[in-house]
Amino acid sequence: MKRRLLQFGLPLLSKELTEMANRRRTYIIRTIYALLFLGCVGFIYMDSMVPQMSNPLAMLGRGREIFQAMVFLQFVAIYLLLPAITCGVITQEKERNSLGLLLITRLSPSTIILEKYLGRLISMLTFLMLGLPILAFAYSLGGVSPAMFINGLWLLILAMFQIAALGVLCSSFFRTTVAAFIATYLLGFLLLFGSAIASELNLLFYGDIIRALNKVVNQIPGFNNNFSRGSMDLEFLFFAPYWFDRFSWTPGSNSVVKTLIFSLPILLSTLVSLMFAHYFLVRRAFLPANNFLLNLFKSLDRLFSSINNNRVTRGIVLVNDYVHLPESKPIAWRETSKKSLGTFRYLFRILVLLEVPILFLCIIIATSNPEPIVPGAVILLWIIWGLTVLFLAVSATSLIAGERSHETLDVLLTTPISGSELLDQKIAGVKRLCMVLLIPLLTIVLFEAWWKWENSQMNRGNQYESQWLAYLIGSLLTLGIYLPMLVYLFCWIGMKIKSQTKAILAALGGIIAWCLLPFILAFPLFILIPRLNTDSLIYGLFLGPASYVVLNEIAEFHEFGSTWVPLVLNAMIYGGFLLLFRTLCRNHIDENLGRLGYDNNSYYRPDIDSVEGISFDQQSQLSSDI
Amino acid sequence: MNHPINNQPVIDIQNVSHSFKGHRALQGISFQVQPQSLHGFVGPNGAGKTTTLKIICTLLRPQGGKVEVFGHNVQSAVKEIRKRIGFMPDHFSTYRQMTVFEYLDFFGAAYGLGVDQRNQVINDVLTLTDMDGRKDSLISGLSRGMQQRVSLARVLVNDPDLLLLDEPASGLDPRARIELMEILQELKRMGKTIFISSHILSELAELCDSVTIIDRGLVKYSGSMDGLLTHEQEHPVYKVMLEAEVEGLIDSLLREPGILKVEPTEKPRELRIMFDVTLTNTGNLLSKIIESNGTIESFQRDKKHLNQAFLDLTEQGVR
Repeated sequence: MKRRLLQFGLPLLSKELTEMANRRRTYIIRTIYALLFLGCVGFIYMDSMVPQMSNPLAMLGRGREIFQAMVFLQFVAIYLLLPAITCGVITQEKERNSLGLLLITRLSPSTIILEKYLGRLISMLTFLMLGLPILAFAYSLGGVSPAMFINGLWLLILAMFQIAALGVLCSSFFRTTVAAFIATYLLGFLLLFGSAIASELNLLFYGDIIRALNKVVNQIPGFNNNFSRGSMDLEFLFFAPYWFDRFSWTPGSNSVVKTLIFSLPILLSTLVSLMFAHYFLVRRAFLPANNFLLNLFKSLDRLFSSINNNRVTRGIVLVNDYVHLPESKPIAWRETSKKSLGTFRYLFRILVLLEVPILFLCIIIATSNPEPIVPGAVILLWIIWGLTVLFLAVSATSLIAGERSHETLDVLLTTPISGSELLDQKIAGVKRLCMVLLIPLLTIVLFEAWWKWENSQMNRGNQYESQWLAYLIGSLLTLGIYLPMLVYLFCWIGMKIKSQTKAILAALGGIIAWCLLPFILAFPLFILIPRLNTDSLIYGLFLGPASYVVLNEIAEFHEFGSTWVPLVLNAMIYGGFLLLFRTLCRNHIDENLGRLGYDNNSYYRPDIDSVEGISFDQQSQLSSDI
Repeated sequence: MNHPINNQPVIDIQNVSHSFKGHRALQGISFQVQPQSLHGFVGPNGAGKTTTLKIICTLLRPQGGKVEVFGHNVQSAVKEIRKRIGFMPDHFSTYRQMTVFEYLDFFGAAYGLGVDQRNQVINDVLTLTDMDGRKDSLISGLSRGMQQRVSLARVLVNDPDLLLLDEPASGLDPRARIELMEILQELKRMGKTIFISSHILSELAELCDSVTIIDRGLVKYSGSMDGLLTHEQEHPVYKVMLEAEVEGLIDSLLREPGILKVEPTEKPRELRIMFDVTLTNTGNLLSKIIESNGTIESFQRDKKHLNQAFLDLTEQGVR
């Protein structure tokens, strides 16, 4: 009997929960989340309820807005936080070499997956439960139908199941937490929005197929009333907030039934993710340490070589990729010859991979859209910006944190290379990467500027949409300032945080938080000062680096009254940040790296026969003694 | 690079202390390492060995006291010290995707050596560490023993006067360990000063001229290895191995003035004899044995084993 109880004791789940309960950061994150969440809801409450304060009866029935806002905020929390919470669930065991120990216990792979999955779901559930008091309050105000209430809860839980399962799948597949983290966000993004983006860009006639499919579905009796929003219903099949928005307006049991039916794809995607997680758990439990990027590039190498070996090009080699030994800057040499994200041949691959589809898409977009703002190009630019941040976060944070994680930093620090020289050499590879990433970004910017110029000739669009010069200068300044700023910021984070994984996660989390900063700051401000005019704080948007990129792309300068003032202000703010991060990196670099420093910035390079320092004769002491 | 030898200690640590988050890793330690010596640095886990090593090799700033390397203060002459030391941490610290030659060349360049010089020095250190046949091999494909040799070769690339080795033999099989010790002896013969932190006490006893024992941030002993092994022995103890048992020998020896204790050891025909040097000497002792019809097979000073000395000096308990 006792043994049976032990079998059902869920030991892994209790271990997970105990571990989480013992971590201080669990409580810190929960408190921050609670403050943000309550702040946001409070802001919405003040915004919608304050005008009705004088008449309490007018407040009745307004709970709907608060409830909706709360549900959407919880969705945002699930999509932003849950991948980070779940992606390390198996990879951490792999990194600690403890997964093997788990597999040789009586726990079956499915039990391991489910207990791990449950552990993270419970963790997320504690976040969501912070919304219960608000939910009760909103319900008491009235306006929330039972159907809306059930739909909201059901879809929140489903979204949680879906994203957690995706995180567990990536964790089961990948070897490191960093790879699983990136993959979870990318796959999540593709799962939720991939279909809509592909349809918008009409990639491989996907949009046409979706529209045709929608027509067919609408002709099926019984379905024709349900696909009332056209092809959008098919594009957002896996996106729970869409279905909440779709059915929350309709009261009655019918809307609950429809929500249940249309949430089946989400449930299915959850089950598929869990099945694959189970499939990969043992098969990919003991992966040898390998460089994922390097392997990717090697397979790309093979692909390009096979393409190159044809009758026309006959394997022509444009640039000989011979690795020379370092002359005088060994660290820069290693960064540009021995690392996947610094090597010329692989950077060229990245460039080709990004640039060719971009050029192709630009041509398609240009021939199909007569508006000065091209949504496809805008989305493409934002995606490339996202990739750029991702690449830079991984490569720049790993500059120092990687050396520390691989235990190679100490020996490097005992060499006479000065701290600032070490930093300059370390950044050499990332600089190359920046240049490569700059090309696709520039391509889109130049394309959009040209397109705006074309439209300005034909007087299409409003006064801001066709201001091609301001757009071009703003974009170029943004690129010129943001890229080095991000490099120094990530490099500094890598110096401060000892673990490479934590450094990358902190860098990515930090940049997301920074981009959302204006909105995070605005909520408490509006709550504390309800009479505050929104227009008076419009320049506060520039506290986040992404704001200007978004505004510039969609030409939303009406509130500013000019395109040039925001441009100059943004350039000044982030030029200042660039200088700040550069100074943070270079000042006290030796202390940040973990060694004693000295003032001399000159690179140590003694003469061959110098008396000072190392003085090797033509015959070294070692050789003379051998 | 061999600088002229003088009496100045290569490492001079005076009253050094260091704390991490309230934990006192070093509590005012002092010791010296003489030039061209092989100095062992022994202590249990958490004793402060790595902290001391990191201070010596300019990675940590001592919070109290003074540390001098080659007469230079580690806080003010960082660059001069770095040029003359080679540090091997307790892990391999190798770039696994490089070949052996590339790795050594990388560090040669980091020490500012010209391309021609580097080629020559790398070939020399590869010969010394017996790795010249593997110079084009990827480091990731080498065994632990070979990787340790690569690490040692890397330490030698700048031809340092002082080698700081942290647990160089950990994780190596017996053959690799013996070969490593042979290389260290060869380096000592070449005039290098070697400061070696290790847990393998038997090997240190054979290899080192001097030793420092540290425990819980305090130096328990620092001096010559012989001094340690005879440490706290007020009267010398000798072991005598006889060819055959001699009846009444113990009683007759105990009647001699100055002989304090005679007892058989765990080995048959062997006696352990303690005497007072102010009243007798080894010559008298040997004469008395021969007079008593004893045939001596061997006669030697009974030293404490380093393990015993270590246990006597350090406190019990897991840290």
